[in-house]
Amino acid sequence: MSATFIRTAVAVLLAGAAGVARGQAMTHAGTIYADSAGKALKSPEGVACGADGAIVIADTGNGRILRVTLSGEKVASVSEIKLPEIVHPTRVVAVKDGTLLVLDRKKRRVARIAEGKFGGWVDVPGEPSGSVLVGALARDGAGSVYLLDIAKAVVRVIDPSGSSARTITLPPDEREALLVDLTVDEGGKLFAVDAVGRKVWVAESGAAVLKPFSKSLKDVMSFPSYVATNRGRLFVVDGNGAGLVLLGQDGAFLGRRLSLGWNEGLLRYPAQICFDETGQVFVADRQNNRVQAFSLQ
Amino acid sequence: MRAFALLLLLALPTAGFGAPQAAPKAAQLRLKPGAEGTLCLDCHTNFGEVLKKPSVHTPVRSARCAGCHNPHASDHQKLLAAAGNAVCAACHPGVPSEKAKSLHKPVTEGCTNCHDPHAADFSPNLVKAPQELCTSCHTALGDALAAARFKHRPIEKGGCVTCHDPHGSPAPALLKKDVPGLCLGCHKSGSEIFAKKHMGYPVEKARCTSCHDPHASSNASLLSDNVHPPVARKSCGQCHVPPTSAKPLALKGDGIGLCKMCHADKIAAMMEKNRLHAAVVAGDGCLSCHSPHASRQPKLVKGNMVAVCGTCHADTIRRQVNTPTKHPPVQKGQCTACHDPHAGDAPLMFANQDEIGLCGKCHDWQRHSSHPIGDKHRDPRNANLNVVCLSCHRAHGTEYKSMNPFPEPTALCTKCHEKYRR
Repeated sequence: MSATFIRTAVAVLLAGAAGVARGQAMTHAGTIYADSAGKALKSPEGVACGADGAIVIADTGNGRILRVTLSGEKVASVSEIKLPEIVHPTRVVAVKDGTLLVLDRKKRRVARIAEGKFGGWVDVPGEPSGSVLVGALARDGAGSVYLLDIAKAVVRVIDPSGSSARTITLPPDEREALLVDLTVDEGGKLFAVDAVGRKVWVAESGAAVLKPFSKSLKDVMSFPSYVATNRGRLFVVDGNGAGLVLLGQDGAFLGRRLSLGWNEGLLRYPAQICFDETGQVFVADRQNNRVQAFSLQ
Repeated sequence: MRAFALLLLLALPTAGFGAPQAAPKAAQLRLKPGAEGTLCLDCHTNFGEVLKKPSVHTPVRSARCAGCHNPHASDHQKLLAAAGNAVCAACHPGVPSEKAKSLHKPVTEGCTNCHDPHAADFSPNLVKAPQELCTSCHTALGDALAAARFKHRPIEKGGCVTCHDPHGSPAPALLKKDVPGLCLGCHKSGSEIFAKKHMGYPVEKARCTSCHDPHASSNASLLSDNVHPPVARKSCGQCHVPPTSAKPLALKGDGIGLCKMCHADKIAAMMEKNRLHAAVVAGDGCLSCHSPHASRQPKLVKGNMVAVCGTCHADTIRRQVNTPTKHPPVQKGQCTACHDPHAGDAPLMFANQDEIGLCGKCHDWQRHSSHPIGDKHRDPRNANLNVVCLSCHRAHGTEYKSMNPFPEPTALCTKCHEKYRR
C-alpha cells in the first residue's frame, strides 16, 4: 500500500444540502491510507496539523500515533509512535514545540508525548490523578489546556504551568446538553459542541459559564461529534451525517460540505479535523480507515 | 318516520348549541318546516336505523342536519359546512383546550377517529366500546391489561378516562393531573399503612410511577413487572438516606458511583473497554437509561429502547421511521441486538467487531446473497476496506428500499462495477 499523498486534479464538489459559502468550497486534495511499510490505517479518529507542516494521526484501531511529513505532493516520511501507555488514541493536539497531547479514550486521560516518548499524564490540579474522565481536549495559544470532564459535563482549564485549574460550566438550568468536543480559537474563545442539542456553546476568554453560540442545528446536522476553528469560521463535524457544517462568527449557518460515501472525497463517520498553514483541512475519515485532505477555496 | 317526527316535536333548543358559522339561518332563507333535517330523511332513508342507536348526536336528534352539513354545495367532502374538526369546534369550542400540553394524536387527525358524528352504540358517540377503542391503537397496553394478574381499579371501573383526558390535558401523557397529585386524589398518603408500606419515606413527594405501573401488573401492589432487587426487598436505605434525614429522598451517592456499590464488577468491565457510552458516565449516569426502582421493560430500562435511545439519538430513530424498508431490531427497539449499550471495543460499539458476524446473527447471508463478501474481498472503492454488509446497506435505514444508500440498485452496484455504469 503506497503512502504517497496523491493530489487529485479533479475537483469533486461535495456540497451538502445548503449553499456554498463564499471562499469555502472544499476540493479533495489527497488521501493517506497507510504508513510507509504499507500497514493500513484502522479507524483513525484523530488528526492534528503540526506547526512544522507534519500531520499527526491517531491511528486508533492500531493503537498508535503516526507522524507524516510531506514534501510537496509526496510523503517524505512516516514515523510510528507506539507506546504501552497509549492504547486507544482518539484525539491529538500538536503543540508548536513538537509536543503532542493525545487523548486515550480507553484510559480517558490525556498523555504528553515529547520526542516520541511518553511524557506523563495531564492531570487536573487538585484532583486525584486519573480521577477526571476526559472526553475531549483543546489547547489555546497561551498554553492552557482544556479538558472536557464527561462525568460532570464541565470544562477544566489548566493553566500553562499546570499548577492551577478553573472550571467552565454549562448554565445551571441546562440539563439536556451532551458536550462531546472542544476547540479554542486564536482569541481564546472556547467552543463546545453539544451532540444531543445539536448546537454549539461558547465561553469568552476567562468566562466561567458557557452560553449558546448557535441555535439548534437539528435541521442541518444529524449528530455533531467534533469541532474546529479556522480563520474566524467554526467547522462542526457531523459524524452520523458524514459532513462538515460551517458556522460564522455570529453562529449563523453558512453551509454544509461533503457527504457520505466510500470513494475518495466522501466520508463515513468522520472524526477529528485540523487545518494546516496552507488552508488545507485534514479529516480523520474513521469508518473509511483513512485520512483525507481537502483544499479550502 | 313517525318516530322521528315525534322526536322533532319533543326536541327543544338547547342553550349553547348554535349552528356552525357557515350554515345559513332558517328564517332568512324562508325554509319550510323540517327543511334543516327532517326533509333529509326522505332521501337518506338509512338514517332511520342510525337514530335507533343508544347514543345520538344532539344536532341529529334535533333533526338539524344543516347544523353540520351545507344542504346545497360545499368545498368539503360529505357536504360538511367546514373542514375537518372546524365543524365540531363550532359547537365544541375549547376541545382540546388551547392550554393543553399533551394532545391526543387522533384529535389532531379528526374527531371522527373516535366519535361517530351521527349516532353510536356507546356514549358519547364512540365508534367502539371505550376500552376497546383505546386499545385498538394502544395495542401493547391492551395486551398487558389482558395478561396481567392485577388491574388498577380505575381502569376496571371507569376505564381510561378516569385518569386521562382523551382530547388534551395540561399534564403529560394526557393525564388529568400529573403524578403524584393524580394518585393522591384516591390514595391518601397520611395513613399509617401507607407510611409502613413505603418504609416511612415521603413518597408522596416523588413519582408513584417510578415503582408502580398505573395500569396493570402481575406483581402485587401494582409494582411494575421488573423490580430492582433492593426495592423488592424493601431495602430503600441501600440507596437512599434514612427517611428521618433532612432530605429523606436524597441518595447516598452520585451517578455511577452509587450503582457501583452493587454493580462493581459490571462497571469495572465497562471501564476496561476502549469506548464507553457517554450515557454511562454523563449526567444521571446509569439512570440516563435505567429506572432505579421498577420498569415494565427488562433490565429496568426506562422504556422501549426506541424512546430511551432516541432521547439522544433522535436522528437515528428518525431515519428508521422514515425508511421504506424497516430493519426489525431498530423498529422494535432492540438496539442492543447490534450495539453494546454500555461499552465496547469496536467502533459504534458494535456487539461484534466482525460486521459480517454481527449481521449473520440474524441473516444467513450466504442464502441472502451470492455477492462475495469477507476478508478476501477488497472494496474497489477503498483499498482499506473489505466488502461487508455495510458496504451496501445502512443498518438504520435510508430513504430508499432495502436500506440502499442510493435510489436505485444499479447506482450502488456501479460504484464498484464501474464498467457497467451507463
